[in-house]
Amino acid sequence: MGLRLRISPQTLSLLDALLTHAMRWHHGYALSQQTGLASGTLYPILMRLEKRKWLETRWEDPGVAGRPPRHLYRLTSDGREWAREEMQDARARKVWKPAHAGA
Amino acid sequence: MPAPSLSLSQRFSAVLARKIVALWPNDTKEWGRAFEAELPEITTPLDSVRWVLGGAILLAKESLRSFMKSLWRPLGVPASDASSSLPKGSGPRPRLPRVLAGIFLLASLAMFCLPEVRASLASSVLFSRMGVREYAHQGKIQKLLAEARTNHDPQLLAFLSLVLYYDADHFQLADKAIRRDPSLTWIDHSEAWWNSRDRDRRHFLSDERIERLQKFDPQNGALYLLTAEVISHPAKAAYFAGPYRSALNETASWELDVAKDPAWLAAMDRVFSAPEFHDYSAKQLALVRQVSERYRLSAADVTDALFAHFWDNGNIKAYCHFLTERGDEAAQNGKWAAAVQNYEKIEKFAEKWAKEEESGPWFAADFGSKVSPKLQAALEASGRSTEAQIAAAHSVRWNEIITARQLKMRQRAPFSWTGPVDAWHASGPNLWLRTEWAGLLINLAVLLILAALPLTIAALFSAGLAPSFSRRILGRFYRVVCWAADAAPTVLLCSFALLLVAYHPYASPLQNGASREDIVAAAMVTGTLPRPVGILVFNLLYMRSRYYFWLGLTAVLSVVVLVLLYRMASKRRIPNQNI
Repeated sequence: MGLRLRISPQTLSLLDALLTHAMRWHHGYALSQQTGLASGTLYPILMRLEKRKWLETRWEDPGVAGRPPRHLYRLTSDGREWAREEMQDARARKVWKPAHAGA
Repeated sequence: MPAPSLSLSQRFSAVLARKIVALWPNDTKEWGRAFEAELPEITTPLDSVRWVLGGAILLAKESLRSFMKSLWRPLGVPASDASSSLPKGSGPRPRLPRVLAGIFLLASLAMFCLPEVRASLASSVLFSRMGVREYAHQGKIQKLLAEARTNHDPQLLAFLSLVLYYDADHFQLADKAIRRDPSLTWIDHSEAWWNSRDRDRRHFLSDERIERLQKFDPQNGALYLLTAEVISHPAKAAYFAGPYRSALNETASWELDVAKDPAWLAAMDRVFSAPEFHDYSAKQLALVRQVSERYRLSAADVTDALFAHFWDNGNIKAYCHFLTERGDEAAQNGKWAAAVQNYEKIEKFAEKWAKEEESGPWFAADFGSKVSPKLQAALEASGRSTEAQIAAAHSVRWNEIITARQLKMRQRAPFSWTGPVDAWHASGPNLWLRTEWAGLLINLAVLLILAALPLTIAALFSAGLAPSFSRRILGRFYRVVCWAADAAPTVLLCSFALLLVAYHPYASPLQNGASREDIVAAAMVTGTLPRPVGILVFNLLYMRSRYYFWLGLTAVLSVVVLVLLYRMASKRRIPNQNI
């Protein structure tokens, strides 16, 4: 799976949120609300995942006038596989508990 | 439904977010916009403030990351090109990361700040066999003079009187030093410096000074030699004023004339009979070391104070001839006791002279080696075989000293009190001495520094601060600028390092307890080889004729500016010309 990424609890929370609806595009603020991560913590993780091609991004189509288009995030197929492995490993080592069931 | 009105904090957050995005590094600005785009979705004022504060922290992190990344970008390469391959046809660019260029320049500057590096640069650039060396140290000597007038340090005064031997006031300095510390009276002997090229043979010491010296140290025969020099001066002056005659294997006519003067014979007899014979070289060297340590002087600063009294060996040679002829005459007549007495006088004087630390053994061996065989023969003839064996042993020792001297001359820097020895033009096989290699490396390093420093500044300015302008003006020659921007900082650093390494052994000879020869070699190591052409030209033009130097420099710079202006004008007339 390429370079080893430092898996912090914050990263695991974000991966859990992204895997919840793996094929759906997520907004940044929504991810922040789900994981409880501040913007200063959330975006560096997103940037690292995107750099390693585990996260794909796109700008949403311009919708509401007067509002800028928002940035959307979704795990790539490689990213999903990797994220599931990391989540399993974290659960096995008991270093992380899901914030909600059904992850 | 009308849009909800924003609170003050939400409006403030929006303004702040726009500022944050404006400051965001270009290579990740997309993420800044992403952060800003979420702000309208945040309805709670407190949450919006938290969101923006998080963005501010993110901006700080990204700015630092971008700055660190930019350090590894070459000069003149914009950030947008940093991560992607250079587009085809974009032209030549420097390759050396700017952080390395900066480190090299800082390291060069740090080495330049070292006193020994500056001393070697000044010595190499300003040293000249044409007598311009004083120019480099005049400022320092004037400062020392001012300090001596304030603190009245007798040793400093004595040192300055030795350095300024060419100045008419140097006797006043010597007198002040001696008044404060009578044990420094010996410096008058060093003041009595004969210039062998001075045909007038002016003797700088008055009778009163000679008498003061002889009272100060009545045991030292060298002080009575001053009296003999004064007495023989008219005869010698008349001889040297005449046509040149080689007296290597003959007795010069003035020697025959002075040998008839009872006053001269009496003075020379005191020279040869005195218990000691030395020129205060050791005291002179000790004085120079003490003053240099106290006032932080370099080898080049003190060289002029190391010249010993260049006593006139001619008088010694003349008296030796006189005694030898008397001994030979006595030997021919079978008067062995008289022969031994005359020969022994020379032998004993040579032994006393050989005790003189610096150059005594060398000169003494010249005289001793000639008289020892005659003394041995006379002793054997008079039945004193034990003493004859001792004389034979002395003869062997004198020859060993002569051989050792010849070898030692090959190991020393090729300098001479009377003028430099040009190693390039010495006849026969000439092995390079350690000092010559050091001098070559020092000269090479200085040349490289003189070339690399302006090249570095010009290349870094062209490639770093004005790359598009430089590319437009210089055209295909911009490639040379890029090469210079890559190579010049490295060459500059290596040159400073080479200079430091090559000069370091000669940097502190005074502190290392080196001998007089080592100190002089250290001062002159940068001049042991012929001056590099550039430095010679610099000395000739700048020192000898500043007008022509600045005229030439102005002309060259004007031509360069005209060429650049012409290219600027030609590029404007053809705006679509591909570079």
